[in-house]
Amino acid sequence: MMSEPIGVWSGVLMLLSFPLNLYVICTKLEEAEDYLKFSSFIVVFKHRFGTDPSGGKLKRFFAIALVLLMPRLFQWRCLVIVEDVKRIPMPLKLWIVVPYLLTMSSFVGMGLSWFLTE
Amino acid sequence: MQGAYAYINERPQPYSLLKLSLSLNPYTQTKFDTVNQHIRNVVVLPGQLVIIPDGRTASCTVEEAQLMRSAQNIKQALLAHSASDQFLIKNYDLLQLIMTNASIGIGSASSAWRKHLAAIERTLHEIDVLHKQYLSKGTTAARDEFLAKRRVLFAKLEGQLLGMARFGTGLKSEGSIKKMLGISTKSYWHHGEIRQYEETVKRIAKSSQMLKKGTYIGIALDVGVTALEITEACSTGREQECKRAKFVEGGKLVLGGGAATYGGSAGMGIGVAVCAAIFAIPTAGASALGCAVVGGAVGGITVGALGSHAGELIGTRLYEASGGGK
Repeated sequence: MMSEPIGVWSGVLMLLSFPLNLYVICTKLEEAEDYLKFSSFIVVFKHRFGTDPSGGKLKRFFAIALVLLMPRLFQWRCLVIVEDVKRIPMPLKLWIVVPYLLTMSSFVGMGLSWFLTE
Repeated sequence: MQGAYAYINERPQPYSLLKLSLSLNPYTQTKFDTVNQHIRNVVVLPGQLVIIPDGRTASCTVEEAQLMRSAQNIKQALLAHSASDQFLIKNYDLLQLIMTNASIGIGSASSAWRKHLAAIERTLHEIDVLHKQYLSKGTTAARDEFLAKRRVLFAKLEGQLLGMARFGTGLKSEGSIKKMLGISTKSYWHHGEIRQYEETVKRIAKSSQMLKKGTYIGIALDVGVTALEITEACSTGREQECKRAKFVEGGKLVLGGGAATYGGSAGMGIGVAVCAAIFAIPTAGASALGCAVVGGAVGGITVGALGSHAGELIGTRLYEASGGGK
């Protein structure tokens, strides 16, 4: 049975992503957002969903990671310019994208485990 | 001024100072104390009603009695639900919008908000047009022009968004609650408007409480269910069952809760992005909010359930590793 190890490892991955994501949203998020201050998606998202006590940082982190991963899709809808995304230093991009992908991988792994079990 | 009037207090202040600031004559002062029993000798909170009595008579009029009842209701709604931490005041705009979208709002204060939102959408549309022009040309000259125009438009958007924030944080940023609520620009209100305000506060305070506490209630219920599961297993006297329940239910709670938070947050961003990409909706406005709410709910529920399943597996493995089940 492959479902159980996949589920367990996905869960472990998510547990590891808790402190990692917390570190990123506390130290890197604002810096990355600053590079995209002319993206209507990022700016409006920040204002609209940044009202909770934590400043909506987890939501903003997931939103900016999406932009960094698919800048052309967002440019297609004129929500960002790829040129702006390219200005973001690679280490900073990795700080945003890697924890996001780890978290998403844990989602996928959990889903796969559930699917195989069912 | 003829007759009794009322207005909404805009900032926290002691009753004595508020009374002093009104410069009432000695005769009216006594009556002022009588009709303002709901705020007498306490710190008057933002949003509470202050009644200016009818100076023509020492007796309490029907109008004053109505205003006193309204003031009492508003005070109760504010205190019972959210005034203590100003959640309602801070999130008035969002709550109002959600209520309007859900067709349960009364819409009395939303016209100002809608106009403001429409202005933001117009600016976003202008940005959108500018981006399209730039992307279609792509020349160096067009780029410089684009950058300059973009800076101007984003400065305008920033101002509008700050205004949007002010709608919700009017009191905090020393704005006017009357402006924030968009009901009246008059200093003193007549009774119809007061009743409207009373109704608005009641409904919004209730909604804000539900929204604010929804997450906490969800978490509390999860913790409660976990505790019950463990208690049930332990009360039967079977040690192994009890130990297993602690591991499995604990794992489900931790990963289920964490995953639901992640799923909800990720779902909101994905919801807005998908709607923007597929339907080309602006990222501000009611449609985007709807997409975020739907995305957040779907993400939270789905990923929460998956997390709970993974937590159960991890809990079982830990239980086995700890020597249980042998």
